[in-house]
Amino acid sequence: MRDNSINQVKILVVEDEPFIALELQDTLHEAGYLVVGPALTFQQAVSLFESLPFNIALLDINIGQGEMIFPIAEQIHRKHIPIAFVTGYGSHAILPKELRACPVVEKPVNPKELLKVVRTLEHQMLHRPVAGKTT
Amino acid sequence: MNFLEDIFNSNFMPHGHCYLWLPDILILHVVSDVIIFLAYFSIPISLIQVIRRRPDIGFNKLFFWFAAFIFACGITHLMEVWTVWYGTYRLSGLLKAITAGVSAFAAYSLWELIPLAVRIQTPKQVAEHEQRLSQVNEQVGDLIKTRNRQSKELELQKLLLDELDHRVKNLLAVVLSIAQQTIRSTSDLMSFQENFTGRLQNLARIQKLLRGHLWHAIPLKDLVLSSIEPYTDNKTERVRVQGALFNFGAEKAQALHTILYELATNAAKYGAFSAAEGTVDIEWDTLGNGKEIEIRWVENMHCSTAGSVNASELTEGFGSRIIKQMTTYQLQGSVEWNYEPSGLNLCLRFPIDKSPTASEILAE
Repeated sequence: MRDNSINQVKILVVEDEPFIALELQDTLHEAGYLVVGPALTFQQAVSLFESLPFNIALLDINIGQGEMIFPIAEQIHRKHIPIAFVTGYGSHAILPKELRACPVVEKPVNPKELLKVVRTLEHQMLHRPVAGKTT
Repeated sequence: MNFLEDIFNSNFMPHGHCYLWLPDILILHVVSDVIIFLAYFSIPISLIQVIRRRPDIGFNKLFFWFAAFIFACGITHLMEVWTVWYGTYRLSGLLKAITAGVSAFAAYSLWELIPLAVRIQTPKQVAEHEQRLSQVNEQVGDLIKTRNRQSKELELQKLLLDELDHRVKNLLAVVLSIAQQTIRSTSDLMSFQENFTGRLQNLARIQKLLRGHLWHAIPLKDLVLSSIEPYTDNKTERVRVQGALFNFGAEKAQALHTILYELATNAAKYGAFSAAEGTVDIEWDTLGNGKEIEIRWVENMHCSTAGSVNASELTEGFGSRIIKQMTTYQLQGSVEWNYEPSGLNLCLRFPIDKSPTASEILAE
């Protein structure tokens, strides 16, 4: 576990399935990250995006009732915050053009694989400014 | 010998002499020839009109020779009128010879067209063909429709398979998460097995319930009884389910089912179902003109040890986290609980939509 310092990496988690959201939260927490959320609905994701700073976003693609995460993902992307998608759609998940470079983690998620992807994003993040309000 | 030089010479006897210059016979011939000339003069004009308006018809050569032939015939009749008074028989003979030549060409071109002419269809035949063509068109249209329907069905099938694939993976992810979360909240394999199996069976009962109601609204009492089923086998008299008949929408059914199951599990370990005489009251009321529902879970231990059990379980464990998250995000409502001396007292409140059951939809 890392220090709960100001330098702790903050990860926005959006996942509509409560069981999975809890597990993502615990996995990331145990690895020393600070979880923003988890947001279980699109609306919740929007309000977290607008109110809290974070460095990395882990987004479920289908956020329930057929709603897609892409509108908010595009906004996050425009702020140069690295994104990874977590989805059950797997290879046939069709990402919008500007998000095509984002890594996709397939469900069921292997915690080790997830953390590997997060560390890659963390590396990207080091060269990018922190989005939103600063703590 | 000098035929051409004498061509306009009229030193022959005019034809009128043959008619003895009798006015009646003269008039008969002259008027008839003039009328024939006029008629023969007008026919080529009408033929030319036809060709000009319908260039697609073709047969231009035939039309030309016929127009020329008829015009030439007309000229010979005009000549007949002229020779009544002037005996220019060389000229009339020459015109007749030209007419002969033209008529020979016209006759030849008609002969040439015989094979084609016999193939020309009558309007009746054309109508029959048109009818047959429209039948064929209809059949082709049907085939295209069938083809389109098949490709649409295939597309739908692909869509359903993609969705199924997505749901299966999602379900596997849920199962994995439940396993991981259960590992986190249990200390030994025995209790892991018990909790994990219980949670998977809960998922299976939700599936069965939703399928049984065709993924439409479920009577709330059925949902409640299904969620606590593992703990009510021999305790039916210890659970009181009370509330007006209410059909609960499928979208929120999974969350409520899981919440009630976790409460029942908690009660079996630490609460009313763990005490010999304990009871649970599950009641509901709709509020705000049916826009909201309040569901109360009230445990009564009916024993002196009430309150001394590990009351903190619900505030710490996975069960409580799931209850909080599901109430907040999936039910979009609130949950409150406290421990009375008699046991846990929990109240859920969340908005609801009016949802028809499958049989109500079928009845419409």
